[in-house]
Amino acid sequence: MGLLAYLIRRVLITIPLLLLVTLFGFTLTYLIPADPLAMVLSERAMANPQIVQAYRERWGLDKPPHERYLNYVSRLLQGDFGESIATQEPVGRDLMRYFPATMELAVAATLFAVVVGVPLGVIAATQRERWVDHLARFISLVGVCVPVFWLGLLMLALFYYRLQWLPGPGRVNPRLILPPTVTGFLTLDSLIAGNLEVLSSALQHLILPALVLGAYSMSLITRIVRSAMLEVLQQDYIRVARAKGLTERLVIMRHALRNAALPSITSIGLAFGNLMAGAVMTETVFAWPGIGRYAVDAATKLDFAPIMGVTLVVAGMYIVINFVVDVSYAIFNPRVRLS
Amino acid sequence: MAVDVLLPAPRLSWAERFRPALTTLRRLLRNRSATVGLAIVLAWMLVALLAPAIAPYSPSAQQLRMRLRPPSEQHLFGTDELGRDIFSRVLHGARISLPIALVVVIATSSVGILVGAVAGYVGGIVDEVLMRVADAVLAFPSLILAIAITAALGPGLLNAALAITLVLWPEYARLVRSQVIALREMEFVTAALAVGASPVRALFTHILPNALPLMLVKVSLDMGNAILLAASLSFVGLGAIPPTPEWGAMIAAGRHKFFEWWLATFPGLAVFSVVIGFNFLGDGLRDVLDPRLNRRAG
Repeated sequence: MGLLAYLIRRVLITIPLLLLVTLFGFTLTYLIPADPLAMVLSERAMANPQIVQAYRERWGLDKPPHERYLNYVSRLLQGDFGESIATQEPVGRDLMRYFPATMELAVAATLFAVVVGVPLGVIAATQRERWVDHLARFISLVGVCVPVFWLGLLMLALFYYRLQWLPGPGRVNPRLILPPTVTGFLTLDSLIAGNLEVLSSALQHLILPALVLGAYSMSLITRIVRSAMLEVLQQDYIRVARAKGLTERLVIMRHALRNAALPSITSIGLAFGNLMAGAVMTETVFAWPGIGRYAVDAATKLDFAPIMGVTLVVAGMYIVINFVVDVSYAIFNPRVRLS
Repeated sequence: MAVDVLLPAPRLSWAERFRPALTTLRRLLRNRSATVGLAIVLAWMLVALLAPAIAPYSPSAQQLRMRLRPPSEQHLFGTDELGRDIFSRVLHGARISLPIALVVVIATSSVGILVGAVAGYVGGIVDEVLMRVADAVLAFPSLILAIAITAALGPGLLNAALAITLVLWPEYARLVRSQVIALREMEFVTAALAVGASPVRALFTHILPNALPLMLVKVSLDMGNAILLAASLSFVGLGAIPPTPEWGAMIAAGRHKFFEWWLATFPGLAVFSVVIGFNFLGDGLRDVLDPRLNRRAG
C-alpha cells in the first residue's frame, strides 16, 4: 500500500476515536456536580440570579446537554475549539500560543533523553553485570521513580539558588525584548532574528526543565535499548561478525545497534508521548508558559473548552507520533510492511 | 454417560494446595530486586502502623518559636513554617499515602477485572463498546484528567483516590481482557465447560486465577504510580487538605523556599523511596511470575 493511502486510512480511523474522547469529556463535565460559573463569578455575582442567567445564556449553559454537545462538535469540526469561560479567549488562539513552548521543551527533553539514554543502554548491555551496567540500571530506576515536581525543585534549589549556575523559572529573562514569533520556538526565533542575547538566555532557561522532564524518558530508553541490545548480542550474526575478526566497535555499532534500533524507536516514540503529559508538573514547577500549565489552570477552573482542547492536541500528538514510529519501522527494517 | 468415567477430584491437603504458592514465594525471596523491594515496602508499612508510637512529636503540634529550623538533634528533618516537626510528619505521611494507594489499586483492579473479563469473555459488541470507552479514557493525559475530576469533586484525599481510580482502570481492563481472550480457548477451560461448569464459574475459577500473576506485577508497579499521582495532586493543591501531613502537600509547602531546603527534600525522599520499593518488588515479581521471561532466561 502506498504511503499516502496508508496515511489517509490512519487519519480516518482516528476521527471517530477523537470524537469519542470529546463525548467522554463532555459527559464527565456534565455529570460532575460542580458549576463552572462558581469558579469564574464572584460570590456576590453568583447570588444575583439575573447575572447568573445572563452568563448561562452567554455560554449556552441553559441549553439541554445534547444540544450543547452537538454545538461544540459542529464548531470543532470547523476548526473552532470554543472559548474559555475563565479568560473569555478563544481556545484555539491560546493553544497556538502555549503549544510551541511545550513542544520546544519536549524536543529538548527528548534530545537529552536520547543522547544520554541510548549510549547508556548500549554500554550497559555490552558491560553486562559490571559496575557500568549496575549504574545504568540504577539511574534508570531513579528516573522512573522520582516525583517529577520534587526533582524540579531540587534542581532549582541546587543550580539556581545555591550554585547560581543557571537561571530560575520562566522561559527567558523577562527584561529582554523578544524577537518576532515565527516558529514559536524561542530558541529558533531568536536565531532567525540573529538575537544572540535572547538565544543564550532561552537556552539557559531550557536546560533545567528539559533535564527534569527528560529524566523519565531517558530511563525508559536506557532500559529498552539495554534489553534490546542484550537480545541482539546473542544472535548468530553477531558471532559471525566477531568471527570475521571485526573490531568490537564495528560489531556493536554496525551489526548490533542497527538491529536493536527497532524496539528502541518505539520506546522513544512512547517516551515522547509521555513527555506531553509529564510536562504538566514540569511546567508548573518551572513556570513554563506551555499547554501543561494552561491545562492545570483550566482543570482547576472546570473550564471545559480548554481542557478538551489540550486533550485533543495531546491525543493528536500521540497519533502523529505513532504514525511516525510505524513509518520509521518500515525504513529501518525492510521486512516490516505498512498495512 | 461420559460422566461415569470421570474420577473424583483428588483431595488435596492444605500443604499440597499451597505448594505452588510456596515455590513462588521461595523463588521470590531468592530474587535480589524482589527482596530489596519487599524490605523497603514492609519497612514503610511498619512505619505507617507504628507512626504514632515512634514519631517524636505529634504531626500537628505547632511550636511557633521553632519555625523553619534546619535539621538538628531535636528535629532530625528540621521544622516547617508552623514549627511542626518534619520527621514526625514524614512518618505520619506513610499512614496517608500507603492506604490511599492500596484503596486505589484495589478499586482500579476490581473495575478493570470486571470490565476486562466481561469484554474478553462476552466479546462482540459489548467488547467493542467497553474497549472504545477504555481507549477514550486512555487518550486523556492521565494527570490532566485526574486534576479535572478532583477539581470538580472538590479537593480531598478520597476524591483524589476516586479520580486516580477513574484514570487508571483501563490499563487493567486491557490486561485482563487480553489474558481472558488468550485463556478462553485453552483446553482446560473447554474441559471445564464440557463437564458442565457455567461460563461464570469457568471465568472465576479457571480463567481469572491464571491471569493473576501478571495482575500482581501490575498491582505492585501501580502502588508506586498511585502514590506518585496522589502526591502530584496534593502538590497542585487538590489532594490532601492543609493540616494533613501528606508528602506531596509538604513538598508544595517548600516550593518557594529554596533556602529552607529541608522542607521539600525529606518528604520527597519518602515518596521516592516507597515508589522505588514498589518498583523493585514489581520487577522481581515479573522475573519470577512472567512465564515468557522464564523461558527466555532458561
